[in-house]
Amino acid sequence: MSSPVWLIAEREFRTYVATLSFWAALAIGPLAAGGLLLVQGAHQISPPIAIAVTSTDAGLAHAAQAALKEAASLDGRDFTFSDNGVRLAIAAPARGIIDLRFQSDFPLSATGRALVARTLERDAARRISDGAVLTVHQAELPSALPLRRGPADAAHFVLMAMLWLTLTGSLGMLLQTVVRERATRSLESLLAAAAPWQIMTGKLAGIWGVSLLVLAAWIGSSGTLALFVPKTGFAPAIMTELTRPGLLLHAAAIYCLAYAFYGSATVAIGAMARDSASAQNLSRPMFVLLMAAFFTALALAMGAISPSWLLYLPPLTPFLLLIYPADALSWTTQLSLFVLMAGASFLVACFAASRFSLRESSVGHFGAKAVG
Amino acid sequence: MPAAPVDLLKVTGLAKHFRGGGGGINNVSFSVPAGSVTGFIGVNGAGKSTTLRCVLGLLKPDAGNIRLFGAPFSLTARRHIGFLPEERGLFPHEPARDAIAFHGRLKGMSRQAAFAAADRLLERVGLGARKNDRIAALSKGNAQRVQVLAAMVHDPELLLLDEPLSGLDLIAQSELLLLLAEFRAQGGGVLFSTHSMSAAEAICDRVVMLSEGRTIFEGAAPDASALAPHGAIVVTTDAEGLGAAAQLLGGQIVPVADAKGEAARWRVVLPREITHPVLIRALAERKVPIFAFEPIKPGLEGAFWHLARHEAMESRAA
Repeated sequence: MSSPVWLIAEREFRTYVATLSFWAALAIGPLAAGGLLLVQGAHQISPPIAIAVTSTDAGLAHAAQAALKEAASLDGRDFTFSDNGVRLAIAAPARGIIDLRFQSDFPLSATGRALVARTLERDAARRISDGAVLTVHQAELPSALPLRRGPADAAHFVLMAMLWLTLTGSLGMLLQTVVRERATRSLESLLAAAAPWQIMTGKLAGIWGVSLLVLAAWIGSSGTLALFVPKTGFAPAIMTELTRPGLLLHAAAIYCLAYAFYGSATVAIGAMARDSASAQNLSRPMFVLLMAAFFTALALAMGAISPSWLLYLPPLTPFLLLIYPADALSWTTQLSLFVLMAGASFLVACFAASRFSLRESSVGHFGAKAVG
Repeated sequence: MPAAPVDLLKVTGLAKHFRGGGGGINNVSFSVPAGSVTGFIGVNGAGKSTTLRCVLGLLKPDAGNIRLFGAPFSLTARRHIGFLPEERGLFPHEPARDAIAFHGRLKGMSRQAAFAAADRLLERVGLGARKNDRIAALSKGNAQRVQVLAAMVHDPELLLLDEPLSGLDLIAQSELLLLLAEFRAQGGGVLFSTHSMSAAEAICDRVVMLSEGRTIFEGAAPDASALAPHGAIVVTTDAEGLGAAAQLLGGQIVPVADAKGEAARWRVVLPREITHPVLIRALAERKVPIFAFEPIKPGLEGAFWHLARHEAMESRAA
């Protein structure tokens, strides 16, 4: 004998895994990762660019070369260093001040230049022991750029995008399965054998399993591909970062809460709708909210906005939590955000379960015209 | 003296009202004995589905009493009911065998027992060779049979079937009725709601008639048929002449539908000893034009309309 929750979850899972569209969705991750590596490989065929770093401070010049190498890999380029390359002049006119002068056609993006400046600032700060103020001129550092710390932040962004894509896809499936069973009244057969919360949890769990499988395939394929390609370059670095257990656990926890929140809301919408047309209309605001969450996270990643209070809006929390670097938030803040999400999900789930039941509903809940 | 059959289901004074008013029930009472097939007859909106939902605990009644297997309603007792909702919605991608076994497991059967029962039932209805076919690949009739088997897989004592014959061709209907007859022979009780009076006459031992949310008849099917009035449906432009002829013969006329053009459709109810040729002769003598003449068939249909009309008149008078 099995629990109705498990039985319903198993059936939902089997139903969706048996469809061709599921396997097509599953293939997106490996194909995208492979494509990215191909593009990266094509980039690496181009010859390295010669760079000349000039400075009176040998240590500073050495640190600048290392920073330039790293920044170039983010831009998909490779630098070699020689005296007659494109110039970067480094000067220290006063204690605590570093001037970087990039040649006008220096082959590095503004983000890359900012990374070089930040790296030099950090290295110089370590060497200053008297607490003098350190300033690096040349690049104005935006408050929150996605790639400011390289592949680690890019991996956060990729995870957020994956969460968003998987979530929207699985919410569509969830809405479809709830509405279909309500419209055909087969839900009544289930309600005659199981409690509303069991049916709701079973459906949530089944679709959750499907989306986890998709996510696992995407991340797993990225990690596997990363094992077989050279470790240089931006794309392999992101893929390697995506296999870091700590990051994955963090992302998995966020994903579970996001799915519980939006999934319960979807079930509630499906339970309130009479048919698929009304379900689509009712679900539109939720999908608009999801779009807003994505673009807010994107804006945050690009440094266009940075208010931390946005983190405390439950619909946005999971996406922004993934974008914020782990070290930018204290563990107490992170814990409070997790508790907030869990609480919001619980409330939405309670509401959804109440809408799922016929007991508290009017006949209009199932469509008055069909009552015989 | 043989013992009286046990009531698997007994409903007394059931009432359920909805916001907006439609689809509710007011005073529904009936019982379903073991080893019987009880037809649940009523037009759309009479309250059949609402009653079935209350019996299953899907809706909480406003008043009344429901006893399942001799005890008050409980979720444990509900496990011994097989339910077929009005509109069927099996997963189209699911194989027939899996769909049946799923419902069995949902009712508490082990995986092994549920699949064994699914195989056995599919063999019994001649679908054994197609057990692994997806529901989408089956004909509508076969898919419906799979749905009925899903309601029966856990070997319930009571079957509640909401319009099980809708959409089935005559052969599929007779196969399904055979299945229900077998179930009855094994001591099970069946309550099935239907619009089809002929199907109800073919298989039901008992009938419960519902009109405007009230029970208007409960009893043996032959007793219900005997209540059918004797007479005919007549289409004419001369209502006055028709009324006079009917009155002369000791009968009366009742409008059936709105007039189409000048002609209207009337139900002429006559004493049983007055034959149809006598009525036709009386109409001819009065030169009443007859556009259509259809004798009212004795049976459940006639009885139902007669009782429903009587109930409506009483309600209006009250």
